[in-house]
Amino acid sequence: MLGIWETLGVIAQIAIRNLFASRWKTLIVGGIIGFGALLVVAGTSLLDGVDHAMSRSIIGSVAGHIQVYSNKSKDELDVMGGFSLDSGDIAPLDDFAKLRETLLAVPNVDRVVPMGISGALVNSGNTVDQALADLRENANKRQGGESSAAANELYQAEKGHVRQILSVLSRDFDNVRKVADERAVSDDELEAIKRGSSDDFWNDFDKDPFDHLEFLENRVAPLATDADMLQLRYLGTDPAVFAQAFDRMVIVDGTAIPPGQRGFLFSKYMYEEQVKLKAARGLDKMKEGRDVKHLTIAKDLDLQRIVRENSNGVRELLLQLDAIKTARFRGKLQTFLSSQEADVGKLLAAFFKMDDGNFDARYKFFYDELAPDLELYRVRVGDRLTIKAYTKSGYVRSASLKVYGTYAFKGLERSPQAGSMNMMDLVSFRELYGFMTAEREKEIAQMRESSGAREIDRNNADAELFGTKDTSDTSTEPAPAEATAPGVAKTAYERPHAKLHHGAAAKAAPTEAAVAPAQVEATEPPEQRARTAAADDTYDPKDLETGVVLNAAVLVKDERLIPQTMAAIEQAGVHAGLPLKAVSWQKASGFVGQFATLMRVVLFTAVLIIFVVALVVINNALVMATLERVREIGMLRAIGAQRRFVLSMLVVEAVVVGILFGALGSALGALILSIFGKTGIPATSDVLTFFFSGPRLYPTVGGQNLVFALVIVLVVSVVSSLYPAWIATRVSPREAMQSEE
Amino acid sequence: MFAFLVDARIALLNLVEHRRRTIFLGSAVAVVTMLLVLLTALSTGVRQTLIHSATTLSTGHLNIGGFYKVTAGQAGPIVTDYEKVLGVAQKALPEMDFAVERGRGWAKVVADRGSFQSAINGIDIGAEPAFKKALDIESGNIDDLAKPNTILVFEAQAKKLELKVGDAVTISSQTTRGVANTIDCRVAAIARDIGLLSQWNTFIPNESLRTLYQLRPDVTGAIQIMLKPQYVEHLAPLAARLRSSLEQAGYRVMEPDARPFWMKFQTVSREDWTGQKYDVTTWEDELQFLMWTLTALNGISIVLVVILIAIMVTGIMNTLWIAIRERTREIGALRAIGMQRGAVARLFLMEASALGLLGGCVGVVLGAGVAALVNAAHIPVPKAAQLFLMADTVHLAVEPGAVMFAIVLITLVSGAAALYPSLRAARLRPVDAMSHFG
Repeated sequence: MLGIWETLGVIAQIAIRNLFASRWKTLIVGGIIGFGALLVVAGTSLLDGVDHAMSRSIIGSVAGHIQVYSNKSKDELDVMGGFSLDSGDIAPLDDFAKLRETLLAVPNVDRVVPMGISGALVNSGNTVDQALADLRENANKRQGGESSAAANELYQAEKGHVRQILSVLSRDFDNVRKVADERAVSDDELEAIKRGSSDDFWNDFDKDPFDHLEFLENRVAPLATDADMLQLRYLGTDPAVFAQAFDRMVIVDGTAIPPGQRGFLFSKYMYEEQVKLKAARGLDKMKEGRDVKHLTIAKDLDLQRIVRENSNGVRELLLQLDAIKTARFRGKLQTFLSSQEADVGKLLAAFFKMDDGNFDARYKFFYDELAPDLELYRVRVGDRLTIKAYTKSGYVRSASLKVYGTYAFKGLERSPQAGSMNMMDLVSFRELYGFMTAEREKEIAQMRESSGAREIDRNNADAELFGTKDTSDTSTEPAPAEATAPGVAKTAYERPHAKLHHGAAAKAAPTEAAVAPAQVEATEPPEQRARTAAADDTYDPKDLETGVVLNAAVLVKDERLIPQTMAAIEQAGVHAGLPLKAVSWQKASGFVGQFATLMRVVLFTAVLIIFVVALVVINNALVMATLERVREIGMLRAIGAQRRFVLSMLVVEAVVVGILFGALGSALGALILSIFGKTGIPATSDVLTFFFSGPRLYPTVGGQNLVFALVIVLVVSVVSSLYPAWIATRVSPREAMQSEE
Repeated sequence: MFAFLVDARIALLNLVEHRRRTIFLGSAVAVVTMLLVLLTALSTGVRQTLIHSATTLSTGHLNIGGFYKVTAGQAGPIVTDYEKVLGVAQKALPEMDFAVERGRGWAKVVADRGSFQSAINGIDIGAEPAFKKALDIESGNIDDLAKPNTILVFEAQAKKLELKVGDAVTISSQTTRGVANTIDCRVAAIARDIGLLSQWNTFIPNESLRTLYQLRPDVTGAIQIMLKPQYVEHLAPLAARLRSSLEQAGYRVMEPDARPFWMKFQTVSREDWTGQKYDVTTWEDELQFLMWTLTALNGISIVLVVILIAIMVTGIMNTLWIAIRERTREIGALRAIGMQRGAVARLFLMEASALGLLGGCVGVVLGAGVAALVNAAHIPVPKAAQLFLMADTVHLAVEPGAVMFAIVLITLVSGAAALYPSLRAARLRPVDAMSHFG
């Protein structure tokens, strides 16, 4: 009796000989198995790479390792934002100080960052505001005694500019009447525009420029309708804590929001994409397309669209030009284009009709010659930005915040996902979101006192609220009371018991700020002009520490312990009486975070299907091969081979094929991946930079990918050889020897 | 013809004789066909859900929308003079089944227990029997939507805001002038969800939408044109014709731009014109932002099907190889008694094609069965995949055309796989073949 090892040796020998004897079968079965292994190795490695890169993107940009929010929330938290601007219907957590204390007591918790995410349509300021501000500045200089010819010319040019805008405005009002019913336009407004564009008004202008300017700023400018609306998502947080916790964050322009100051940071991506002059942004995109992606205007439809849009959209440039700049543009463009055309609009349109031949020269000319006379960004660093947001209960709140600069996350500069979030201090966020803050409570108490604390029944209060949604922001008039409310509209806040207070606030407002009632009723509140008001931008850091937050990002010391830490956090919440819910970064980032999981499911489903079909086909091929060898097997049986021997022979054959070709396929897959690992897979679109956590993905092949592939391949080859092997064991020596074939 | 029948008979007999092999290979073919059918059904299902929910909720097959610019820099999604424009469209498009006017808006819907951002559609419920039929009303009466200051919301929205029929909500938005305005509405009806789009669409009477935006009565948001079913698939030429008819009637029409209307604001605001321009779009344009999922789904399906077919082809070639070797002497005999090379090749081709056809038919039946089971089971889609599949339950649509395509494709591929082995068989010389052993 041979020992088991000798038997195996013999079996293996026979198996290998058989493999060579029936080469075609080996190749077909091996080919399928090898291909499967390659697919599994390459696919899983690539996915691991994306998964890892994405986790870095999400954890590093806003989510942190764990997000904590109230378990009373109606929606699940989605920090990346699904379709809406906000992060879902999230119940507030009342006291951040207590929350932080509770969280930091949990082992493995390293840092806690307070957060709130919301969004608003933001008015980026319109041309009238800009022109009036310029005119005021010049008028100031004039009054200050500057009276050079150049200064005077500039002043007159500004005046012409404003006057021209007003004549456009009165035309606009005719257009409004064609679509809007009479409720939309009041007689007061028409009167104001008529006066503003009349000759008398401008003849008298120089007598008292400031009086006239005030009229224009307060009565006419709010009627201008051409302001651009920006859709902004923003994160309210403690800027200093955020910057420490998320170290990929870098300030690109300007400075960070100083501690204790209200302020706003644009995301660099948003700033470029939405705030920059569209024509300039278009040129940037074309340059990138041509230089980085090697596209041509002649072939690429997107670039052609940009050329068309730039050429049709010169209006935004023209509106920025006063008489002096217009003349300068005309001269430069005529020379550059060697054209006799006098109309600057037409010159610009011709200039922007670019092709592959002249693009580089014109791009340079635009930035060197034209851009210095243009405001490239509608909101400059240092400007004030007025944000009007709906509170949860649908009232409009507004805040005017200083723009301190722009920021980005390293490696994710081009990603729309990472770049969609702007930032503001948490105190301003709370006010915009409609929370009571200590400051506001005080303010309301004061107002109640000053209004004699009238009792207002609920119906009446509601009427007040809905009638005058957007009530008076007092920052128009630099009233002394303003100091306590830096540019924040005094409207409603969300808690039902507080509505009563609001009634008082609405009643009190007119006494506080001398705004014409008609304006309060129906027009845009003029707080865009808050630029001129010197608002107090500071807050007490203690307010930030103690108030309400919507959610908090937790960064841990050891990433491997995230599930345990989450459980510990919820446990700690129960002990501390806080309704805490902890979710991992994957969950908190909604669809984006689950994208890798989804891809994995798709890949595994595909692999499963492929191997099921492969199993059937391989099985079939092996059955064929076995049937062909019936005589041979019969012979073996006749000379004394047991059924078990025949069975093992065929299974070993399959295992050898599996190992051999599985290894070959895996090696090929690993080779391909390691080439990519060296050169990197370029992120072909901006969206991909987020999934790749940078401009390129460098996938690596992990041992577990290879083991996984080999295991699958072995299982498939063994399973597919079982039935043919069983058939072989049924062969009786006599029959086999007699059979003809 | 007779020769063909004889060949077919021989092919079938061969399949029957090698029963076990036929069953194995046939089942591989059947599995591939089934998967092909299921993948197409998934893609078609997603597309159907999308087109159904979209054409019910927010777009016609064709739309005449457009922008009215009060100033060059500000555009509103408004269509003025819509009755005359509709007249032009009716003349230009005999393919039209019916058309409706819908107001377009974006606002915050506020209830006592919460709020959400919503695309507000103005609707004239009396003029839209198709809409009434398409919606599945859970509670309330959809006809109440004829009264001013009413609103129709969907199940998920109602659940989130804890709304019942008769409850009041406030809708808050900004008018064309940028002024905040609100209206109070009573919930008239709650409808069952229709795919993803019903998460953010709500309906109020056109009259109330005009009040909200302070618009004149002859102004609307868009004219949605529904076509007769046979014209739905080829929209581009119809859109082009509508565009040119509007131009001939003296209206200003925007260049074709395959994006939904709310993505065009930025472009339109930059252009230097005021007043009205009309924009003709198809439902695919309006849903372009969702189309990538269909493209991705189709991409994955195609890759998968190609790989599977490659494996199947390998299997078929392998089997025929063996069959030819087994039957070498038989082939020799046939050739010796005068069968032509072409006939021999045809024999094997037909055998493989017949196998493909049989396997294909079985696969199609299996696929249809699985699809029916899946549809009946109402399998919920996990949240991450909902965006991908546009629906909250898996819906598979098996279409006769797709089934025919699957069978024809599989049969042809099987035949093609047999081409090389068959030609090899045909090249055998009778003498060699007859003397072949083993």
